[in-house]
Amino acid sequence: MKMDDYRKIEERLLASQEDYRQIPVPEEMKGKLKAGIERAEAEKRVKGNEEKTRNENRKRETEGGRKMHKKKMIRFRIIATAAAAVLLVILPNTGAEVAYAMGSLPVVGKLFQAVTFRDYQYESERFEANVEVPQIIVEDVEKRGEGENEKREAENVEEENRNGDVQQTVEEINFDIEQVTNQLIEEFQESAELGESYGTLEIHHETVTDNENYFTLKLSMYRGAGSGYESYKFYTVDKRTGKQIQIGDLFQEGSNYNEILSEDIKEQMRAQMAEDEGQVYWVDYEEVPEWNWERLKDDQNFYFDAEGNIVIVFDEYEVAPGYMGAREFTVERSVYENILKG
Amino acid sequence: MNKKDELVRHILLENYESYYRLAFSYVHQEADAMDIVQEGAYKAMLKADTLREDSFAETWVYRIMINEAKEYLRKNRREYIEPDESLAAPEEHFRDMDLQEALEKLPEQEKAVIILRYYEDKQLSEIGEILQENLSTVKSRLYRALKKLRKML
Repeated sequence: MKMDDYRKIEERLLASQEDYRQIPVPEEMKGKLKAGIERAEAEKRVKGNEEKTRNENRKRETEGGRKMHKKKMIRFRIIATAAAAVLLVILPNTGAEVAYAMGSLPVVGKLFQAVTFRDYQYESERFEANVEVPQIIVEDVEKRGEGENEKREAENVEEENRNGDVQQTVEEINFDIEQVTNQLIEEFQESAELGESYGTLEIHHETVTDNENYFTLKLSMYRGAGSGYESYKFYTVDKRTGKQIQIGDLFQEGSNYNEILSEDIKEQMRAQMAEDEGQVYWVDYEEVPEWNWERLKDDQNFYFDAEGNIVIVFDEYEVAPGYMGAREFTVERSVYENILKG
Repeated sequence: MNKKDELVRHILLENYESYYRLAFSYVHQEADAMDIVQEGAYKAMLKADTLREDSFAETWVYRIMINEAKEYLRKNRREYIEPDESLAAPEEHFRDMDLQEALEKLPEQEKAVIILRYYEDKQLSEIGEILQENLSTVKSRLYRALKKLRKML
């Protein structure tokens, strides 16, 4: 190509720049842009608050001396009474089911249950909330249904000494649930009063694992306004130790569980993308390498499926573009069996 | 709100019309172009704190917008299997229709270089940052694109 030809094309392109700049931008564009910005800001705010709550909890735990423990016990008593009250209301209606469930339970000595502790409903022309905040309660199986409430409470005191770990764990989880959900409810109430921002709030809970060793409560939180954002929190208790566990606690010290699980998940992502080009994950994503998902977080959400395989849960935007939604990956037991804790 | 959030927000509000035009030249649909810019703005804000250098912020946002547009095309490709004449047609906004028609026929990356260079007045080094390519690749892409246009026109 001669230099002249090259310049001619360039000139022609530059001559049409004016026309390009005249492409009309719809009036709604600015509003939509701001909505996108606000959505991200609201999400970050929520995430930041969750982080703050977590840090505060952690701080509280490490600071916790005798005094702190006493205070917690008092708090627990209040919750326990309230939960028992809820149970009393529920039991007459579901008596048959509970009896059946108890009959079929393996005897492990402890019955974990999630009950709706706070029920918040709101409906106006533009705002709607449907919130069920759970609390976990733990009881000795054989003590269930044995006489009146006061007696059970008196026994709880002794029990607390024996099973302090379980009760403390459950109390901490309940406290965390309360903090996280209160925050969302308050934000919702504020916007409903001002008439701006989020229009929908949904909070629900589900017991996703309840086997011999583990109990996992899933908390689903959805905030919506046009397009919504759903997030989850999973709380898992190891029934044998009475402690809340994170994914890393399942594996032997020093094992490379994270690499093993993450690699398996990445393979699953690649396979899904190869099979269906509508599936997009941020893995091997060359355009924006810093978005690539690398490995599980220490507090990665997970639970066990009915077969005992680990299911890893990712929030929206954590490993894929928003339209993909939240994603779950089941990692077969055989993949990690040899590095499980004894 | 931290400084990086503030910076990205400022850049978005300052340049959204450019992003819209860029997106529009990819998808040729007002509603789709607006969705792309909205989603891109959302992601840019969400990821603002991963931004390492403030001076990269502008090209970084462009990159996000372009990726969003490409992803949009990829995601919707199956729906566009039968090319709709009204979509493929060059825009009525242009007086030089032949040129636009030729631009449409260029591969995505080459078209992006042309638009950024001649319509958005970007330096070749900036284009390299936006498209995550080194300078010599950008140069050869630009040259190849111009050659193809010359052939078509």
